Amino acid sequence: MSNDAVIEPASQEAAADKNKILRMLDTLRNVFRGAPIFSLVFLTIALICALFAPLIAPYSPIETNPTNILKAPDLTNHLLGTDNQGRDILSRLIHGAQTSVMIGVLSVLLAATVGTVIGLVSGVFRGWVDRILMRFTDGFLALPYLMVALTAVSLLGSSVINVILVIGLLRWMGFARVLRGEVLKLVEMDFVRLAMAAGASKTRIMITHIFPNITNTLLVLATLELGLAVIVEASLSFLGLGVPRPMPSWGSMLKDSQLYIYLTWWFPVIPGIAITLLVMSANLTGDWLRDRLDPTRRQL
Amino acid sequence: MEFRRFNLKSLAIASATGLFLASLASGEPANAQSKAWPDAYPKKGVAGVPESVDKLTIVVDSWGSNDLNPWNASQVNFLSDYYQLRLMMQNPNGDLVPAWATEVKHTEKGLTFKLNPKAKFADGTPADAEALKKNFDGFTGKYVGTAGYEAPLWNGAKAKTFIKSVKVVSPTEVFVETKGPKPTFMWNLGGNGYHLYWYGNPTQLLKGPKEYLKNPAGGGPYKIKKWDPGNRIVLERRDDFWADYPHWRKPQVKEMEVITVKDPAARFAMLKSGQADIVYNLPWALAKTLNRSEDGVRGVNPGKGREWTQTYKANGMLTLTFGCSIQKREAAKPAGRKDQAGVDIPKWKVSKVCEDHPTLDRRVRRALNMAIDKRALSAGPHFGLSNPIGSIFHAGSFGSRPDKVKTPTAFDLEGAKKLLKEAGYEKGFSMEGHFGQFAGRPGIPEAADFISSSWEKLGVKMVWKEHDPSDFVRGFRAGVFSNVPVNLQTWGRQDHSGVQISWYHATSGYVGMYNDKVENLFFDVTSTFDPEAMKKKLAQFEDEVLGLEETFPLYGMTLVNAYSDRVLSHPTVEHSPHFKHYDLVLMRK
Amino acid sequence: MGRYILKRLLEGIITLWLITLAVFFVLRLGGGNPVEYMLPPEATQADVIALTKAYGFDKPLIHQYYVFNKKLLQGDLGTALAWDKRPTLELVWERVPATLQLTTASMVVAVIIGVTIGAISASRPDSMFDRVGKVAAIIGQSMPVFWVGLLLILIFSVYLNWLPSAGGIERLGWQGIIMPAASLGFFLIASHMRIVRSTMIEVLESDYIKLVRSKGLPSRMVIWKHAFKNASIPVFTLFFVNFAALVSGAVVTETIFAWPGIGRLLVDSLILRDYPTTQAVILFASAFIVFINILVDVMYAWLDPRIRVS
Repeated sequence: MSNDAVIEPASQEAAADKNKILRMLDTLRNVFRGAPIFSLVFLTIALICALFAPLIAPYSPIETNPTNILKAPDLTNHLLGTDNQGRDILSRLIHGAQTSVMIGVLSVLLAATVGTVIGLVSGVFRGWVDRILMRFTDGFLALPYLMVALTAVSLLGSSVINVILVIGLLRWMGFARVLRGEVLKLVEMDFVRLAMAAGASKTRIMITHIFPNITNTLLVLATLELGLAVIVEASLSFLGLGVPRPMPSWGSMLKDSQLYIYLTWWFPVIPGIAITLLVMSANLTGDWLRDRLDPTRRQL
Repeated sequence: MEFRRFNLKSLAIASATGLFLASLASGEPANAQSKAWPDAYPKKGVAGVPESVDKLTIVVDSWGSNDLNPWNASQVNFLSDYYQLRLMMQNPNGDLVPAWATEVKHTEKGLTFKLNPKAKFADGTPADAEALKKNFDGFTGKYVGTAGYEAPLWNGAKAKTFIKSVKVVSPTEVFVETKGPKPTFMWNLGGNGYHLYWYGNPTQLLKGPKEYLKNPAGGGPYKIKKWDPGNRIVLERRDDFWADYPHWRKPQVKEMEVITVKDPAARFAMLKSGQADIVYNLPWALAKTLNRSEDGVRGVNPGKGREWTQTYKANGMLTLTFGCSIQKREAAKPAGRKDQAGVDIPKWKVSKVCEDHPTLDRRVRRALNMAIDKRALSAGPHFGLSNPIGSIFHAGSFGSRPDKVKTPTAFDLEGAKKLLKEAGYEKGFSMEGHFGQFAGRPGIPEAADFISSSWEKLGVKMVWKEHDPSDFVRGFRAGVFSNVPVNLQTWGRQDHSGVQISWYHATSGYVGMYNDKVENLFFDVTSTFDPEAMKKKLAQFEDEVLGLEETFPLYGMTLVNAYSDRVLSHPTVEHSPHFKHYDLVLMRK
Repeated sequence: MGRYILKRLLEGIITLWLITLAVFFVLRLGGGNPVEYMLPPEATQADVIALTKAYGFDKPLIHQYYVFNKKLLQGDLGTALAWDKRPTLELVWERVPATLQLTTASMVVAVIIGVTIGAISASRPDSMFDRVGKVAAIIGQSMPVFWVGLLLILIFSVYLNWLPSAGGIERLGWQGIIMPAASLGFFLIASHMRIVRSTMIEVLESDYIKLVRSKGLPSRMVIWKHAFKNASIPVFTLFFVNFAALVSGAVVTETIFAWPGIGRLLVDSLILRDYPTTQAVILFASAFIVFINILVDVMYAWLDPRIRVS
């Protein structure tokens, strides 16, 4: 039977339903054209873990079990083995997803919000407002990112909020600059000029005309930044400034586990793989979004 | 066969009895092996051990500060042991033995030091009584404002509380008059145990801090060949080293290099890959994979494999401390007070979280402590290398009571639940606690996690905030006291509990739990000269502190040194808060 | 051109000065008296009082800032609280070569590998090589740097015993830089590969190249000579920008490999709460980044005169 064979529908309604489904599948196929399937699936799994961790995790992430230390992965009991305190690694990974994803998403949200506001205001208001904001942006861009993050968390103390604040408030510049560029182009367009001529306030133009048209770029940038935020959280944990114990985060799990590499393989490797997959998925998804949402742009 | 076994058994009983009697006398748990040096150890130039060896590489997690100057340093620097002088020192058996001073006579009025007439600094100048006096002047800040010194020594004020005057009696004799009886002088300024002051070359020091760095010319067995602060030091043996004691003499190793690598996995890699011969502070989990020298002669290469270990016992401890009660107590007192030594006591305030906190109730604190199974913590996450303790004094220290040390408070989860219910907290509550990690103090994060897990069973939700060491220490300063409501206070080893108690009073810089009675006891104990009387008072002090039920000892730490097969022996004390006696290391080649 | 350079330099200096302002106040307001943090537990309250006075930390913050600025104008970045009270400028300057060596070596690794993969991918878009190359590069960008470092140490120091792992070039010679450079450079390979690939593809499909191809020149020559040259502007910009960022990222690598650079100086000075030194390191790294950015802008302006005017 060739691929083009058509199966005779049993009735008119069935034919209509079938067409609807085929059309839906077609739309889906179109929307997700060229999508990195594995990445999207992984991100979804991470998100589900982040939202429903207590419901999914088989064991408590903080209950230590002194007689069960560093046990190997075992399909009946601890799927990914136990750590140096006898805790189930899989459960900690699931709860850790909550922490790491939360930190990643919230810090990117913060950076995106600040960056978008600055980019919009800069691009729409222009003039001295633009100059001052860009000077401000340049100042922040001159800061050595990881060094300042480290210093700030060291001073403020390590907590989830502080890590989110520090990561978020040091990454908004990329958003601001790129979005400002987009805004400058949009402002020249006819529909905006018409609105301005009609007497709409600059603020209104910003919100109703410009913002909806930069969301694509915003989404791409946010996805790409997510990867970096997760890596920075891991680095901060490594340098001793991670989330409060006993909350697991993938970064702190990776840090705690490193010295056990001489004794076991699963404990030091699994959190690292989890981080790598998360960041990879975020990056590949961001790449795909960039291509998908901007057809004039070259494939990268 | 049976006959022999019977003899061995009675021999064992006899020696155990003897040891027990000996331990009653000294208040310290005696260990037959702790007196094994030098007989049980290899010797330089004997039985194939080379007289000289070219290189030794040591990796540590930290050596303290990065200051070479003993008059304006910001903290202790344990490398100083190798290129500076100490008045006296500990030999590997823990006995107080000569260094710069050959003998010390210590009375309630002060100390008379007789200095070794051969003592010389690396630039040839004699290390005589004048030099000692100048050092004391340097510690107490007499040169600040001259010779380029702008800042005093970090613990200069402390030196001032001990010393009234220093008199040069002869080129080799000095009399230090103390401000009243100071029984712990040798443990504070003398170089014994955890020492705080090192004596440098005044000729070089008086050239000013900048010039001094170019040529410190200290009096110790090594001189500094290369100094890369924070990273590495290369020490070169002084072939004209003046001392010739069995415990302090020209070392076998010509060039000793010490490097800092903070990450434990990377540190172990240095040993495994042959890049380093000695690794200080090997994590407990990894130590278990190597051969212990303690199975044979402690500190001697057992010859069973590529690496071996030796452990410093009781190098520090961790206690669980609840701070709200002391805050309320002290904040109720007026401002502008001074303590018995005339030092200003800062005004305390009550943190918001402590105004009405469950831990203000003694029953809650007791319950929380009861819920922690200290033996399980040591056996499990600590891989059997920590010791559950019941004392605020370190094992084997002067003034500690062995049974108190060895017996942790009982674990009783059901009892804890009952107590909490009685106090009205059946449903539990939430808390945020504080801890910090310090170099050379293993096991703390695991303890934090273990406690969270233990308290979850009581319904108490516990989250720990980690501070870096400076921030954590600051949180204990009187008047600041921000590590509330609960924290994991950590202490480094003190060989003499009379020094350990210096934290339990109002003008300590790092405050342990005290009340008025404890404060008064502190001044009483630290001016009691008779050792037996002091021991009694120390016991009373400890009972008083533990009776507050605000600080609960959790575990005593041990610190593992790992060696490559090239190292034949490292005679060193059984108990120490930091690395010692690297100059006594003997290598194969 | 000269005026443009001067303008950028002035802007850079103002930016740096604003950074010193921010860093100074953030550090001091972060928690009060630095002496309380600096001193170890063994220090008494009397020691705290004596040292606070000696360092002038009991004076009002504004006065301290004024003193700081006065010294700054004299080229004095302050005195370290630890580190034998040496001038912080001296301390930082001593460590800079090590960090520069590390970042340069990392860039070399990232550039050579990134450009090679990118160029080959550009000449065979959507092939197996292209897809595998992209994934391999992205893996590098997704692994935490300290993890890569530790894995490398395990493989090459412990198991294979080929390379040493701690101490820096002075101690180990040039073989000591291989692993640190690899772990730091690994992170950037993806970013380099992508930009080379994308810009080269863009150029390869441009009309100019199509014309040259139609003249019948051999394929390889086309790629390397013409495409490369025209793709270089955005590529080199990215290289410089990444190089500047590496100075900051080196913090983690220097910690793992006991590398005596300014990253490690920062970590150590934070633990000791030595504010003057922390300040000096951040300032220095910022100055480096600003300088690189000015360099890039000047290069751009030189290549495209329109920018100078705007």
